[in-house]
Amino acid sequence: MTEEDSTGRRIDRRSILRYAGVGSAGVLAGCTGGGGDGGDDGDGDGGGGDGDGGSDTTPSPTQAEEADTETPSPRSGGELTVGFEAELTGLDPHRTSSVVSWVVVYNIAEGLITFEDGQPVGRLAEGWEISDDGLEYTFTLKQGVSFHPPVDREMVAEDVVYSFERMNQEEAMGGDLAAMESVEAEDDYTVTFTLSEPFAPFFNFLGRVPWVVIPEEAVEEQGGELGDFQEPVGTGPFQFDEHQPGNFLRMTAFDGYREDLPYLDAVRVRPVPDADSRVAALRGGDVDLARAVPGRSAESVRGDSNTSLLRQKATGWAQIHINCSVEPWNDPAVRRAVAHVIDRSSIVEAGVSGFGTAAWQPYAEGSIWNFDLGDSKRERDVEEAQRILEEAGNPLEDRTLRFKTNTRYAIMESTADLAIAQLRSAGIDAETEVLEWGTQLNDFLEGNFGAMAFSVPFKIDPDRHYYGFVHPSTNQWNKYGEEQPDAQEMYDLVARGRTETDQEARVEIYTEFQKLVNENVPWISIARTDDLIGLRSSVQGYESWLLPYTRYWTMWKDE
Amino acid sequence: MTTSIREYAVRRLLWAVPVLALVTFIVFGLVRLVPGGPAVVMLGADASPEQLAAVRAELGLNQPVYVQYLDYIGGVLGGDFGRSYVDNQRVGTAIASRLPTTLFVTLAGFVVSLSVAIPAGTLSAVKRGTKWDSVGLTFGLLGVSIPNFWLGIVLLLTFGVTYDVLPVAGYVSPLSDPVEGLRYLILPGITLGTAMAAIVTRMLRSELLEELQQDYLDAVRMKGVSETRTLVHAMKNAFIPVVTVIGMQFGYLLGGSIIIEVVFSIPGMGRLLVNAIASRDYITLQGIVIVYTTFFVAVNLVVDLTYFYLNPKLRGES
Repeated sequence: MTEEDSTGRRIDRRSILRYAGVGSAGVLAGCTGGGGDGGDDGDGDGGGGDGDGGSDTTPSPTQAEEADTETPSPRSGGELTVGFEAELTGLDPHRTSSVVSWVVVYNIAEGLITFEDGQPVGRLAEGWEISDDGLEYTFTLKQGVSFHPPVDREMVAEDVVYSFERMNQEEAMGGDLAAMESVEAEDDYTVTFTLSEPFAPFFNFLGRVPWVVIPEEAVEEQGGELGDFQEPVGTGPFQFDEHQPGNFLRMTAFDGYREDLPYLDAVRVRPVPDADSRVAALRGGDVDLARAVPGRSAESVRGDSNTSLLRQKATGWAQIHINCSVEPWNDPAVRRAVAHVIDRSSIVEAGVSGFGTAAWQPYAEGSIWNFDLGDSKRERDVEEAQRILEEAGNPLEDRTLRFKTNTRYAIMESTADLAIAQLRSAGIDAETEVLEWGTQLNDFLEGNFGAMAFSVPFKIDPDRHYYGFVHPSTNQWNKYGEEQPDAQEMYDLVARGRTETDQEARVEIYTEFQKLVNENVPWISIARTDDLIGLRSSVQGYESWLLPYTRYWTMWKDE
Repeated sequence: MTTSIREYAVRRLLWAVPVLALVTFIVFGLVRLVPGGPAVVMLGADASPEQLAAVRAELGLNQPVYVQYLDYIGGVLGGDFGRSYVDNQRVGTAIASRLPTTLFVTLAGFVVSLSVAIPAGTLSAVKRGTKWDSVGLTFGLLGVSIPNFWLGIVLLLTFGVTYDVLPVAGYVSPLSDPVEGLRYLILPGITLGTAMAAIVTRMLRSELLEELQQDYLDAVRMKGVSETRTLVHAMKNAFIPVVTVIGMQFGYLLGGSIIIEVVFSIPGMGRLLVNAIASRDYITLQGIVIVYTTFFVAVNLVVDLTYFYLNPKLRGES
């Protein structure tokens, strides 16, 4: 039997189970996680940096917009300059929650696993076993992996234990490690994690950037405290060289890397926070690669003979979050009616210049988590909206719906602007309330909203999205209280999705859940947005898999 | 008894103390009134109440505000601006490493504006009613009307992309590499300096026109002094109000460099400020505002002292 991962690639289910064990349902693609900041990741038009810091992503293959048929063989040497959308705010991997810092860290330090072609593969781990009850994860480590200078010694199991204990202190990783009861070194090359209860997303988390292994002596050398480790030492293909905060960070090739990589001598990361300036810097040749190119600049990057545009699909998920505990949103009829008024395609056009897809769920067709709602999905149908409202006794009469939004993220701004325009044309009074992003985020966390345009990075494991949205044991962002239709069933589903160790059963669970979401509309899904990357034509070997964690070690310059 | 320049300077310096104290107080209060604290922005949408509480406690934000304020002021008086909430770096160090950059950018704007404004204003006044005057007036109008971030992007696209003669992103200190450093400062300097150049041009033109019609200049001319020398006489007097404007504009340049640093990706204090606001990094924010305020106070002092020097009336009986 075969199954499709989110890239649409067919993969053999048995091989997944062999790789991943039964306890890791979300392993088909990408890395999960969260707890990012969302605050300092710059111009995230296109959906990359938002809600919680872009910690999760899809491995869907980047689609080169300009067909690049020739594939010259890799060439060694050279320095690659990359334009980042934000400054690096802290490089301690166990502390920072900034996406751009993670991209750097990803090239310097390594975690136990990573994902390739949508499947988990070892990075520091050679192999792993997951116990049948999903409580014990045993990893065999690769031998002969060495830390960068000045540490210059082999990485062993004790380093893994040290690193996980370090990141588990002071709530550093929040609830992500909450299920971890202990981590122990059996011998130099074997590490066992014991969970207190089955937690299906745990395995995927191991591929997240912050879960990297670092040497204790280097940490102590730099002060020892969480947050002090600002010149990271790891086992990755690049080693830290120099950081002039705000100006640039330089990392150089690590001679002792276990593979014959990287090709580049060095990578220079240069923050260029203004999106227009970033595009100009790319076209002017000041940077070789520009991250987070806004949709409105796509034409100028495409039209320039020296640059090309890459598009990574569905890296963000935009939605209208609804607080189901406040009037008039506590009335399911209101939510259903609004869901029928929204024209998603126009929002995609306006918000991300068409670089996205109108969507009713975060998972694209082809992902195992995608469920075809068919005709039941609530599409734009103003008559239906009016019928629902009439049936409910016109709850929106003499009422104004308010949508909180911000101008920092174009997709959120457009979602709110177009939503109110469409509602007004349907005879429903509505207005936006534009906030500064940090303020909006605060209102989101405090439940101080009725409806809010929002966007989060793609998360491979549905638990990461849905559990926090509805389950009363967490923040319950959508305040979907027990009085709401099917509430208990929805709570049960997300709770079971978290502990169920059989993948097929999990797919069933989330399918049921999505049906209920479509029925009761605790939030309104708007679009999946794409991320755009601009490249100089001399840059080769860009392999996108876990965006935004670019692997610079596969890249080279052809000049 | 006459007021000596030293006495005047000391008096002004003493005034700076309450001004700075008031500014720290206001800034401290204001940043805390803004919804969404550093913990929220740091942890993002996934944050649980427990995590938020833990981070707030760690940052000392669960203390009463007055305790936080006194702690902070105590630290500042001892030269310790605290550590950034975001990356744990010393704020003093962060500011010290970025201040020179901002000063260079400001200075570049200053140099550009004066080297355009003084000739343009003078020419405009002397050649009043000619096409030179029209050019000067048009520049004066356009310069103040064009938003500098827009001008920055246009310059950047023209000279950085289309003609590709100047770098568009980044910064090299002129101290470490003078030639390369200046190349990086040309576009920011023009962008920043244009508005001030326009203002000073207009001001200088009108002051000089007024001065040139004064009777005393006829007396000077009757003595047989050349037209150029006469102009120098007039300019010294015309400069008194212009210096005030230049001084105030220097302060604005310092503020204006914030947007310039963002457009040209210059790692100065302005961008540090923008980041600090976005991430609600109160500690960094306060430190930067104190530094900016100190500069404003210092610039005002210098302006007043220059005024004092240029205008003998001020040195009269007190």
